[in-house]
Amino acid sequence: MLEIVNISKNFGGLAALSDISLSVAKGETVGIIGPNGAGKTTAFNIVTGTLPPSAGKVFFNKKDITGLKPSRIVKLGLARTFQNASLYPDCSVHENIFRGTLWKLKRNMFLNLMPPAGEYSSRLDSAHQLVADIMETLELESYRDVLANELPYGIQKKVGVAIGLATSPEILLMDEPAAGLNSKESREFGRLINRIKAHYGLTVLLVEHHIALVREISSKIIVISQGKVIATGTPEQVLNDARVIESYLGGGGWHAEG
Amino acid sequence: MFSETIVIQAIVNGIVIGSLYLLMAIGFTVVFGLMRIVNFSHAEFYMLGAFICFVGIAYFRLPFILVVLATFLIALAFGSLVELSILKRMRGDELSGMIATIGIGMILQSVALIIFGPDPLAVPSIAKGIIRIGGAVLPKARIYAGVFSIGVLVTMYFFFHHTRHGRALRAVVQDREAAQIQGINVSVYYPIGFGLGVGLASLAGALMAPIFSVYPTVGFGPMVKSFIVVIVGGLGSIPGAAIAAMILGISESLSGTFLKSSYAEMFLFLFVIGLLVLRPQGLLGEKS
Amino acid sequence: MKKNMVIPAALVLVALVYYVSAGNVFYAHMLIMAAINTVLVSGLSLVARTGRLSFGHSAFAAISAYVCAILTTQYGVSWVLAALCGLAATTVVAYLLGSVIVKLRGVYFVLVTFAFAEFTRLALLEFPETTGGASGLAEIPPLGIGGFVIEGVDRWLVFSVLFCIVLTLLMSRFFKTTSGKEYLSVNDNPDLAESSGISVSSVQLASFVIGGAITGFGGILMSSYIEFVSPESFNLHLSITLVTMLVIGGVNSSWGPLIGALFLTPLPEILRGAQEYQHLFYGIVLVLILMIRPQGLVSIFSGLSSSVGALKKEKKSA
Repeated sequence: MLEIVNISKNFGGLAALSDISLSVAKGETVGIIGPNGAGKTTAFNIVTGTLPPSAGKVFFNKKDITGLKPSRIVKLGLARTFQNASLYPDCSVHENIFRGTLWKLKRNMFLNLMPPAGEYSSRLDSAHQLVADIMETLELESYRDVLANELPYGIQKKVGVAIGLATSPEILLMDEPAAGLNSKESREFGRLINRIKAHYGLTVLLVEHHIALVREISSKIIVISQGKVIATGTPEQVLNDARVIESYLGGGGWHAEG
Repeated sequence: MFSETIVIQAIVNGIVIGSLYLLMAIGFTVVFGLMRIVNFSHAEFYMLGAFICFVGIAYFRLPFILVVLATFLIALAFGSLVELSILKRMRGDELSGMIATIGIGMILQSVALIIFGPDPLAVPSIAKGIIRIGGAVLPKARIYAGVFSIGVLVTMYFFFHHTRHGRALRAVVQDREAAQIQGINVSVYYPIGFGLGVGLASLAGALMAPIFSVYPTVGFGPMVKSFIVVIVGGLGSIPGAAIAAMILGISESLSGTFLKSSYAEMFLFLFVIGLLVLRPQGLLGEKS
Repeated sequence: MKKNMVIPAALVLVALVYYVSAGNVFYAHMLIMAAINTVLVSGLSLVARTGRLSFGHSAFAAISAYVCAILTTQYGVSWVLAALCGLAATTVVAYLLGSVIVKLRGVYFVLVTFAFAEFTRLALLEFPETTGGASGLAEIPPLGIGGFVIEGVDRWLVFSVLFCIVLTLLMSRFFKTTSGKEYLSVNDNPDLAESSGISVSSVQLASFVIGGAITGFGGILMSSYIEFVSPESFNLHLSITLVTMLVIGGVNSSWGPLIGALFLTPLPEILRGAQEYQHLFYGIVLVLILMIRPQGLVSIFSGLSSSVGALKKEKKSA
């Protein structure tokens, strides 16, 4: 479904990514791990369109999405969450999630000044239904009217995911979903991811430091170190791979258990 | 007409003017880099300096250097006071801070109008006579202004590069987030930073007062020019501003001498717009 | 819901002011100017609510006003056609400028629009054969639609007040629609908006063009009312005044432009006496309001005109 082909990225003279390739098949949950500064976030940002690659291509459902604007990529079915749970601060949870559906509700600005009718009205209704469904699945109903900047951190993260879901994606890219969560919370988050995956028929790709989370929910793990893919396989294969262990001990952090 | 002496005169004048634009530009950059607000009262602080100089020389008959020094200190203190009393509550809300500087500027200008009236006033001559360089004739007053401003610029250089607080301030101006990560307490520098920034504008005003006349709206033109210097040189880059200021000063002086084209100003703005679009970081600026 | 208080409150306020002014030409003139300023500021507000502050809107007012004035005075074109041409000209310029500066944010945007405003003023000065140069264009034919002419304080009063209220209501309605919410999303969190399928650059460009056109129409209204234009009618001072009105009224509210214009337009005039004291007072009031009510006067009506279902809090803090 998602293919990254020979992507390289240079910042000034520094090669953040050197010729990496990876693929995500429909229905998989793929986790990308690696030591700090390995290039995971760079790869993530290239796929989401936030950063252009220096070389290489990204394909989504066989379509070349390299260099497209992030908003364009979202419309094709690829959504992302933010590491720091970026939300609309002065809006309620309900409004936050609803805004994820806006791109599908697009119509002429002047028409919009008139009350919704006909086909548009039913689109609006399905959008509201989707928001209600998402809130139920993510157990956010009790927070419906709370303003985003008053939410506890864990709930903010859930709302971030909810907004991504509201864009009706086929694949959800998650940027360090367990960041800032303790081990109990991240286990719950892992269960949440599995739940939404089943409920919405999603494919999931996550970049993560929290090995336990990744091990638990991923069908496949890809390890990136110093800008290159050094291992691909099932969690058991990868986490026992000598090269992987060495790259972690040599380089950045390893959260074996949160 | 293209004689060497005239060209030298124009260039020297250009350097004098350029160094004064640079003073204002640095002041503006310090305020912007520190507080992220566009200081629309910069013009009025220039005017403040000009009027202090006028009063100091015309009424108190003090020597020029003393007046200039006093101007800087007064403006520094006053600016810090303004920051502490008014702008402090708007720290973090750059929009309000910016509009507040518009209000502050208005207040300053009105006060000047009330006290001095709208007509231009001439500062009594601070130095009679001329200096000859080669065949060029340069009024002493102008040379003093140029020398003093270069002196101030050199002092500023030492301050920003060789003192602890100066280095900290410079770090904040260049990259606020990085400075905070390094542990610099940014908000402590706000009053002093603002005071320093507007102090430099006042200094420029005081130095220019004997050369041009003094009136309440005298600061607007130099402020716009300093905006241009900052844009072209790059927000947050003082060396960039220095280069831009010299280019602007000298080209203004040369075109004033040789050309009577008013298209020049139009093209200047067009150039600035184009530059901002193609290279928003200016000559040497940091990407913000 | 609280937001429903804003509309009737504002209407009552306006009606009161109308009553007071209807008998007095001077006050009526103030109200008309306030209404026209509301239109000018509304265009600015549209751009501001996508997160960018333009100091160049005086240029858009100038372009529309001048094109319209030139066509009516020098070519005898009807007002309606001339106004349409003026709007078209501004729309084109706003589109071109907007596309080019679409990537600029924050202070760079402020400075470029500032430079553009100054550039336009200089350009208007430079071609006196067409624009009348510094002396401007006088005896501009009044607003005429079909045979109906709007001339004189009474007609202008009704027309301008009605127009600005309708515009404000339309804008308020707009921000409750999905298109309007896209604008607000871009303002509240552009990265999140982009990642939710909302093209930030498209939205900002659209708001810049439409906002420019609205302000352009305000410029046409102004020149048709005063029946005179000059480069100084639309200089940086105006740009700064518009921004001030917007912020004082309330940036994040559809009623901000109206309230800001209503409050600030008469302020310098109400203060009789020397002009310097007017400006002094203006400056002091400005600073005080920013210190006490930074979210704008509209918050006094204790409900920002909400585009959100729930109650929306004040403008985002540090």
